[in-house]
Amino acid sequence: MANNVLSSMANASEAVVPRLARAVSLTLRVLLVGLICFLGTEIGFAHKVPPHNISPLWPTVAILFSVLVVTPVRHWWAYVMAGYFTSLINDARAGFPLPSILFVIAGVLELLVAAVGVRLFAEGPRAFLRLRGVMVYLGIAVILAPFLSAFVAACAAQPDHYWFYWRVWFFSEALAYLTLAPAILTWIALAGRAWKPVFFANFLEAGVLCCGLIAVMITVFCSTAASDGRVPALVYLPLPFLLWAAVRFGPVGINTALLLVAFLSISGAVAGRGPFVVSSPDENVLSLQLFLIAIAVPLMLLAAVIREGREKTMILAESEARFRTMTDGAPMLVWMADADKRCSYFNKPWLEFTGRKVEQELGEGWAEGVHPEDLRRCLSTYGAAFDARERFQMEYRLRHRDGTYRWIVDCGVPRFSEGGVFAGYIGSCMDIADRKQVEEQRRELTHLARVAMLGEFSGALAHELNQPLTAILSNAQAARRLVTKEPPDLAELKTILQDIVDEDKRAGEVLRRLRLLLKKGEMAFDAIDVNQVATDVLDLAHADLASRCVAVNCQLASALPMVRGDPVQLQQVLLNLIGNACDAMTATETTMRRLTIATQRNEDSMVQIAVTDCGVGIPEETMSRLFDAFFTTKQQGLGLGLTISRSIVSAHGGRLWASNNAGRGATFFLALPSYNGEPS
Amino acid sequence: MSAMPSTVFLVDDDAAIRKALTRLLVAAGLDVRSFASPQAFLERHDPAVPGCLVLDVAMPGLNGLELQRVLAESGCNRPIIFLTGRGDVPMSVHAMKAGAVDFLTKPVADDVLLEAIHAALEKDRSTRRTHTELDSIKDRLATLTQREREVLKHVVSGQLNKQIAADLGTVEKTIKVHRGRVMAKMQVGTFADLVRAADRAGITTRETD
Repeated sequence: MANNVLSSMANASEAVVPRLARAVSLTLRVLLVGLICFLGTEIGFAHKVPPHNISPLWPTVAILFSVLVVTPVRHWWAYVMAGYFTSLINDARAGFPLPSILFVIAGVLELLVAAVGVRLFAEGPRAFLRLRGVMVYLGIAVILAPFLSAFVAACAAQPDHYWFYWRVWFFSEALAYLTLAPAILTWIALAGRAWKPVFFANFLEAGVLCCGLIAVMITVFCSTAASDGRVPALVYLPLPFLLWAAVRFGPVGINTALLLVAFLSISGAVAGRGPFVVSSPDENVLSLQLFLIAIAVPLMLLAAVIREGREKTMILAESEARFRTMTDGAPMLVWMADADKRCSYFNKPWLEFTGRKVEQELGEGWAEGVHPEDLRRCLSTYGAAFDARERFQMEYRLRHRDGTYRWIVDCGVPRFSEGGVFAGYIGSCMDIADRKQVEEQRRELTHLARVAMLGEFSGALAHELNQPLTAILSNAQAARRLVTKEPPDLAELKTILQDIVDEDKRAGEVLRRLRLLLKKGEMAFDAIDVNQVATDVLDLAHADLASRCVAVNCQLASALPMVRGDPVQLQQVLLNLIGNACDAMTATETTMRRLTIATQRNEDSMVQIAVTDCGVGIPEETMSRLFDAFFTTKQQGLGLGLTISRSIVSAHGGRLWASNNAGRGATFFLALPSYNGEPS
Repeated sequence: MSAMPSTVFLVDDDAAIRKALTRLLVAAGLDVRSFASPQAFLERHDPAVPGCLVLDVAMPGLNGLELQRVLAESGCNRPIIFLTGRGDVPMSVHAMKAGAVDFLTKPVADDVLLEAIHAALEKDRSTRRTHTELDSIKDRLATLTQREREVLKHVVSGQLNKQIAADLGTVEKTIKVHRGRVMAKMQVGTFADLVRAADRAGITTRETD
């Protein structure tokens, strides 16, 4: 409790110091703004054009507007107060005349509309970097705000001059927002971002541009005018410099240049020089204002457009660089193909893998590295997927730089440019030589386990072969006797010969099945009937079961869905389970030995095979280790049968598990996903 | 006894083998009856029919060896020939000790099989003959009176008539008469035959019956 009080006191005292510092800095800033606004007002007054003393450009409001755009809203009241401080003092001294009050109100209204609008809709100081931002700024700050505030300000004039004063206010405020505020805001935004290293060349260029512009401005706008009543063509001389500023230096450049132009032209006009002194003073001011507006608006828009374009290019270049770094650094082999199927890019790892140069691989050169046995399949898969604009995955052998072929898996995806136009493929490949080796070893092991298991059944298999052979011999010997009879019974002989043929086929069938099981093949997945597999296995094991006096009960469900799998491997699993079941029943009385094979369809539409025995059951402590490699409770055997069975079942997408029966013995369950005939 | 033709009873669970063997044996002039399982055979078995049994050893349910045991327990002496797909020595020894005539391996050549069958049928006939003879001796014995039976016992143990008379408390003449009647009833001509017949019937020592 005391700790909590102490720590909160410490936190409070810690917070006090920065808060104090913040308050101090805020006060300083407010004072600074106040000072700048005072200066701005003075400058504005100094630049009034006689005889009406209209100021072509009123700085104060624009300055305050810039400040409000970049400061937090809760401090606005302070800045506004500071900005209007001197005018308020003056007004107080003059006894708060109505026009002044109205000007203040109009100014504040304009400020708020412009500042809020630009902050909300145009990202504040970053407005000039985007075309949309510039347009919003022009609409809200340059047109809308002065428009609305002019109605208030013009009330200060005599009623019959209302619209004149409205126009004067509108244009002078608008011009301030057009030339002064953007410059201030862009420089604030520039200061906010990290400074890019400024090359000396850029600096020099900016200097030349500035000097040139100033020189032109002074020549055109600050020298004595010709008095022929027309605006000379030279007034457009600043344009190339402005264009140069916009193109080379973007929004910063153009806004600064426009400020210069405005300042110099207004100075010149106030001093009675330049091209805008040929008509009446009101007309002069208006022409000057219109001139400045006419060149400012399009150039600001241009600068924003150019800036956006440059940004896009930069982002693109960065993205390109990122892509290259990533593809060259990744451990995958990456390639890209255009819409005409020809390859246009190979990353560094690919070139290192194949040891070839990129020119050799481009186009169709890469296919030279594919193993001849895989080439046809590879090209047809690639071609088919390409035509269908689909992703593909294929495995093939690619020649490594050391001359050997290594297995890789290649995944390609189509890519589309903006607008959905097909632009080609991009693909990545991984070296799977190790994985292939592991797969090969697993195949070997499964095969060996199968052969070993068949060895256990070999006695029974010999018996299976013996039966037809016996029948054939006895038939033939019977026929030999019958042939000598007089007359020979040809019908009987025909039957005998047919039986011999049938028995021979029967033997052949046993041998065929045996050969299939002994073959070390790849897994050949096909749609198979689980009942058929069970029946075949029982045929194979029949003699062995008989010699062990195991009675078999078959409960095969009708209308079972098909399963996708390799019949040889599934037979291996079932043989393993049946063998285990028989071993479990060796201690059981011969008349009680019963093996049940049941197939059914599960609730989750899996096909289930259950092998049930009535033997000794599975002890609880061995249940969890049942499927472990090299775990066996038998005297002989490696203990791999169930491990391999489980891995076969997993490869089929199924499950293999065991449980003890309620009565005697145990049941092994094998569940496989059903297959509705569609290609996966 | 009228000689009924001998039958070969064939029991094998493999239909093709049953058919082939039946054909072979029929072609060799034998009368064959085949069954798919030992149970089927036992249901229809009539021990009075002469003949032998050809059995497959490995059959589901009751196998060949067990059938042999069942028949022996029921007192049937029908000769058995075993057929097997495996050349299993312990099994064959067991079968032979239990009284099988032969133990053959499949595939079986016709001459080997027929030889075994003829031997078995011969054995069966001789057994029956012996049995029949024994039956007739027993029948004849049954016709003897109590006294005659006593005399028979004493006679075959080698005693003189005088001794027998002394043992049985009667005169020699009576014994001689009894003896003659016994010889006649037993249908034997010589003393040696009488001894043999008595031997066959199991009357060997002087005991009370």
